[in-house]
Amino acid sequence: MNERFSRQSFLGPDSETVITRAVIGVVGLGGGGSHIVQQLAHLGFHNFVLYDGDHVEESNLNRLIGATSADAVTGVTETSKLAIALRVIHGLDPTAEVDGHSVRWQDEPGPLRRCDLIFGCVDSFSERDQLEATCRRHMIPLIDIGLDIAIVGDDPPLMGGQVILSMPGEPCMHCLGFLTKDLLAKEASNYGAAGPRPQVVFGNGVLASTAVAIAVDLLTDWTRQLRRAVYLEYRGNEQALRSHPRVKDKGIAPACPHYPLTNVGSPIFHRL
Amino acid sequence: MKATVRIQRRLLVEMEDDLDRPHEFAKERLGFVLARWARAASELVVIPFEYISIADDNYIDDAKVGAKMNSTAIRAALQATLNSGAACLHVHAHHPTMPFFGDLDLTEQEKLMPSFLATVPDAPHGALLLYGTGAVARLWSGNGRPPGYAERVTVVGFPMRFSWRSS
Repeated sequence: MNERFSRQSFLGPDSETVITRAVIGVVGLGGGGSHIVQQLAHLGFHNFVLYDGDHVEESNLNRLIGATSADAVTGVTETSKLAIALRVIHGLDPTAEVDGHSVRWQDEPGPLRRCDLIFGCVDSFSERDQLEATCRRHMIPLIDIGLDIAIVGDDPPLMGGQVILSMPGEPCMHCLGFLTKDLLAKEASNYGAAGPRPQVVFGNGVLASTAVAIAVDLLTDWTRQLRRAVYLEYRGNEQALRSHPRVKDKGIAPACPHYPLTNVGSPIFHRL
Repeated sequence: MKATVRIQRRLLVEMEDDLDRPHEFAKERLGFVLARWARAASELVVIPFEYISIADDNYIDDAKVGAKMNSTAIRAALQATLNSGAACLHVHAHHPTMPFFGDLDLTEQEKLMPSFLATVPDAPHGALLLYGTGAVARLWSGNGRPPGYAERVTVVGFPMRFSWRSS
C-alpha cells in the first residue's frame, strides 16, 4: 500500500485499487463541489470528470475551497471554478487524470457517462431532476447534496439541506418525495425567487463530507452496512443530520417505477 | 474502443439465480441478456436490461460439454434482439477459480455472434461470463472489427462491484 494512504487501509485490501481506478464525476464546483473535490483528492481518487461553467467571484470566497483572493480579482482573465478544482487536485496528485469541462454538463454530456459515480452539487430542482434521469439512463449512482438557508421575517435564519444517494434500481428522488411535479412546476414558474441565495462554508462542509463518506462506503463496502438508498436531512440550526422520515424504518423498496430498467442507454428507434 | 458493461444488481441476481438452477442432464445453464448502449466520449457503455432464460427443453444432451442449447433457444434470443433493437450478450457462469472464457466458449462465440450482428448490426453484441463476485465481457462492435474485452464490468447496486480487465 502506498504510504500516503496507510492510515486509511481500514477501508479494505482492494480499496486503494478501487479508489485509484474509479471514475468520479462532480457536477458543480462551487461551495459543495469544491469541498468534495478536495476530499476525493486527499483520499487518492485519480480519475475525475468535472463540470462547472462559472468563474470565481468575490462573493464565492466565503466558501469556495481552494480559491484565493487573487482568483476573484476582476480583470482581463477570469479564474474558472474548474481551474480551482484542477489546482487542488493536481496539488495533491500531479498525475491525476482530470477530464474538466468549463461548461454546463448538459452541453457536453458524453464524458459524464464514463463515470462510476457522480456527485450532484447543483442549485435547482430541475437540474437535479435532469441529472438523476441521466444517471439512471446510464446506470450510474448519484449522490446529491444541497444546502438551503431560509430567511423569513424576524425569525432566526433556518438552515436545512439534504444528502441523497440515488442508486439505479432503488428509490429515486421522486420515490423519496424530494422531487415532486409540483415543486418542479413552481420552480419553473420562478416561484419564490428572492435574489442571491445565502450559503455558508460550514453547512456545505457537513454535507460534502457526508456525501464523500457515502461514496467511499459504496465503492469499498468497508462498513458492509450500506444496502439501501440514503436520504439524509440536514438541520443546520441543530447541527443535526438524520435519516429522513420517508426512508427511516423502511425495508428495501420495490424497483423504482419512475426509471424502469428498459429505459437505459441512448434512446434508439427501430422498425417493428 | 474502451468499453464498460454496467449491470444493475437486481438483474445480476436474476441471472445468477437462473444459472444456478440444476438441470436434468446439463452440468451448467446458459442464458442471454438484452442490452442497450451509449457513447461516453470516446468510450462505449453497455447496459443489460432484460434476461432471457433458456427453457429446460432447449438444452441438448451432450456429455462432451457442460451445456449445449438448441437452435430454438438461439432463435428465441435472435427474435428478442430483433424485436427490441437491442444488443444481446450470451451469459453463463464459471467457478471463481476460472474467471475467464474457456477455449470452447471462445470458439462457440465466434460461431454465434455473426447471427446477432446480422440481426441488429450496429449493436455491441457479445458474451458475459459471471464468476463469484466478478465478471468479464467480450464484445463485437460489428463492421468486421475483431472482438474486444470490456475494460471493466461494474455491478451497480448494494454493494458496488468492479471487475477490471487489466491490472
